[in-house]
Amino acid sequence: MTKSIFLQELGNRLRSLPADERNQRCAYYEELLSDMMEDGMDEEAAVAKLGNLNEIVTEILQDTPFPTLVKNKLRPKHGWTAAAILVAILGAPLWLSLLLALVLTVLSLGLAVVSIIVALFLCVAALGITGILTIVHGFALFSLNGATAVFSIGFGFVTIGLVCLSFLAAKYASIGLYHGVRWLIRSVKRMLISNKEA
Amino acid sequence: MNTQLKKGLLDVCVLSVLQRGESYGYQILKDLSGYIDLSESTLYPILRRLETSHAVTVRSVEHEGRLRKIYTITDSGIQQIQEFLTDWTEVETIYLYIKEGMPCD
Repeated sequence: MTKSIFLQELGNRLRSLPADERNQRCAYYEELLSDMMEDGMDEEAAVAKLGNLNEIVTEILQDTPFPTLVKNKLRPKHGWTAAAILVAILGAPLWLSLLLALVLTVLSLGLAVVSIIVALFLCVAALGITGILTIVHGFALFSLNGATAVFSIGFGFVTIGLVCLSFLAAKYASIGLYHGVRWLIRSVKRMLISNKEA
Repeated sequence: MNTQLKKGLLDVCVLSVLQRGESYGYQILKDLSGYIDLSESTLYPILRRLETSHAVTVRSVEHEGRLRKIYTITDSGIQQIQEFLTDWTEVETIYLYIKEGMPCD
């Protein structure tokens, strides 16, 4: 592939990006290719050294913030012409409610994830407080009933042990949840990056 | 090398190249080629990130009838390298601790 074909193809496939960002990316690769060729590399070899175009495009788009991709996806193909504005106004009751539903769904999903993580750690904290109080209660019972006191202190220590285990479980569950959400965002991003683009 | 570990090193590697003198994309890749695996598409976000965090400044100069972006390290960039070197002594301590824990062959 020649340098000009590569750059043209790259520009075409990065249509989901704002024009300014797309031009900067293309300028970067153009400069790299020119420098490689100036360094004595053959034109086709220089393009080949950059790697697979599909992989380059996917990497760039995955690196682009989610709102930027959505914003550009929603932008009319031929810009905001009078007809596009009219269609947008007439279709507002439909797309506005859909957009609102989408924003609220994303927000509620984010809130749900944060709530789950907070709830997990609150459970661990509650278990810890229970353990400490049970031990304190056990010491207070010593003068009244020795056997119950020993049981209470022992139970308290078991609870503290469970706190350590459940803290680890909560930590790994939170990390898993975080990676799950990241995977979900990347999947949606992949959907936004149409087959033609990547 | 572990991806997360490498990611943290790459920014400092690029800054280190620029501490030796101002440079441009392809030259940075060439200078680092013997030390760390850095692809062309990976360098771009690093340079952008360093520019946004004011660790480097960029200017376009004309070269052979075309524009070339020249990157220069700032005081903030030099400070980032110094912070990395300070952190590294802690990493070395952890490394020795991990190594000591390994069973001998």
